[in-house]
Amino acid sequence: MNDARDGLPPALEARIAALETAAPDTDFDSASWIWMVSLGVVLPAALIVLGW
Amino acid sequence: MSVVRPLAPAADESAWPLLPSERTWGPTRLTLTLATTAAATWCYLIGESVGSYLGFIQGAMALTGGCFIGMLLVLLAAGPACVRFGIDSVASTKPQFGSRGWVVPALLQAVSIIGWNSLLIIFFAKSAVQLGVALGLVAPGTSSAGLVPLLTLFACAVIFAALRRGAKGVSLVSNILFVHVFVGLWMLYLIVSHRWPELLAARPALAAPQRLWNYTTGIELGIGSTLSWWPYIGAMIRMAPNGRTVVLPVMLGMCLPVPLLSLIGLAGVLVLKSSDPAEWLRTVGGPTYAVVSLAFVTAANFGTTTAGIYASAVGLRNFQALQPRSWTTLLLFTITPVACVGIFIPELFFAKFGNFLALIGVAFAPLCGIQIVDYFVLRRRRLDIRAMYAQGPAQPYVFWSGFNPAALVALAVGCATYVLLLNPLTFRSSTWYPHLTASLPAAMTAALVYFLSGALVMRSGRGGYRNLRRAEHERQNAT
Repeated sequence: MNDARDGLPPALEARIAALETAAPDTDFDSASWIWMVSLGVVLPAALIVLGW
Repeated sequence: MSVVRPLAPAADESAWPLLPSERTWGPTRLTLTLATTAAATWCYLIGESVGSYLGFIQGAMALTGGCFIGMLLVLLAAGPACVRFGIDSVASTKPQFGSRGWVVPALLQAVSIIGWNSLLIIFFAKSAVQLGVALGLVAPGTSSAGLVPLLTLFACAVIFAALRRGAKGVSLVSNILFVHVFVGLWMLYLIVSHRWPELLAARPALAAPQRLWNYTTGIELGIGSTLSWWPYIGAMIRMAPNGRTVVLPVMLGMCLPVPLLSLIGLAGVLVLKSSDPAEWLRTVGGPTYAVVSLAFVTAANFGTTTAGIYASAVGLRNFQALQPRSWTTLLLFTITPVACVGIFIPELFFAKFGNFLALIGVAFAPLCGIQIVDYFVLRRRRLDIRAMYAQGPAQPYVFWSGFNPAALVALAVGCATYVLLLNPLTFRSSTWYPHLTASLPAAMTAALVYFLSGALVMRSGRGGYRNLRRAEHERQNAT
């Protein structure tokens, strides 16, 4: 049914159907955000201020 | 519930989303691969550029800070879609650029990676010739004109053979070549320990009168360097199972080697007036050190080119005409231009194409701004994986005939903002540049334009924004 509607090859359709039920709802967890903010915001800000 | 077929053996050779069970790379494997990808000759060139304007300590701080900022932007732009659905960087742009408009970032990716790979493979061949001379395999004074094409062909053949195994080939090459990162750190230690007082006293040759301009340029070079990882990152991080596995390998494995190894070029140009370690290591430690350095450069460029060809091949797979082609054919499509450049026009390309790559690089900051504002603000972190691949006029990411004008206008405005602030070829800048950088305003302007024009797109009912809000509303009611 989906093949006709979406024009997807069967193998891709199976993948997408699986991901629609199994793919995680979130991208990064809270620990990841802490690392990203620390390394991507706090650390560069500190380096730039110290270097200046 | 759908029945999932057994895993396709070549899932990592397609641009289709990977299933969770196929995404098996852990933090160590991802770190090795990303670090090997990041470490290449361009690090010396980045260090040389920074060393033209800043001293060692200031240059190191500004460059490292800028690199981390750029890396965060890339991770926030392409990362969410790639880690959630196992897709590559190009596929992650479909919700913003549309079911046909994604060809714009795809072409940016292809030109950028193929262009850079061509340069790196020429660097590889030239280093290999020098290595041959240093080892006594090639007579001193032998012209590289005849050897460079042969070595290019050899390198392309080895890369082709390795990549016939798909992502496993990239990982295999990275596992073998990863040690070169430590060789690079050893070279850094050598120059810093031997020349520390001179390094501190060294003055940059092209420093502008305005101290802030020099410092901002150091930061800008860092941001721009890691923004150019956008084309590469998706094909690598999609092999990892989730966001948590990806963050540290990207922020430390992919980002940190760039400023660290750039310090080799920075220190070299400040103290010895040469960013090429093969030249100054001979001075510092004799011919043995020069051989080690040349081996490092050769290995580094080989590893990066392997990862680049893989990322480019996966990106090209998004084109419908290339989907039914075999992986071998796709690799040939990707590697042939690189081989042709190295064989037929290495010197011409070496002299002229760098400027074109600098211009192409301008687009990655706005691209990141567009992706970030679309995912985190307009779509509130909701993507429709089916709409990224489904065909048909009723699909949400069709927008208008497959193109989202909001993204195209925002990209153009972002690029224009960058060039107005800083000409990437001449380094002429506006009065605002020293206070703002060029990449950050370009990303923010593109994000703002996309946000404002995206509101009009939302009102038109296109782009799938209403479907997402409806689904969110229904879920809230249900709970």
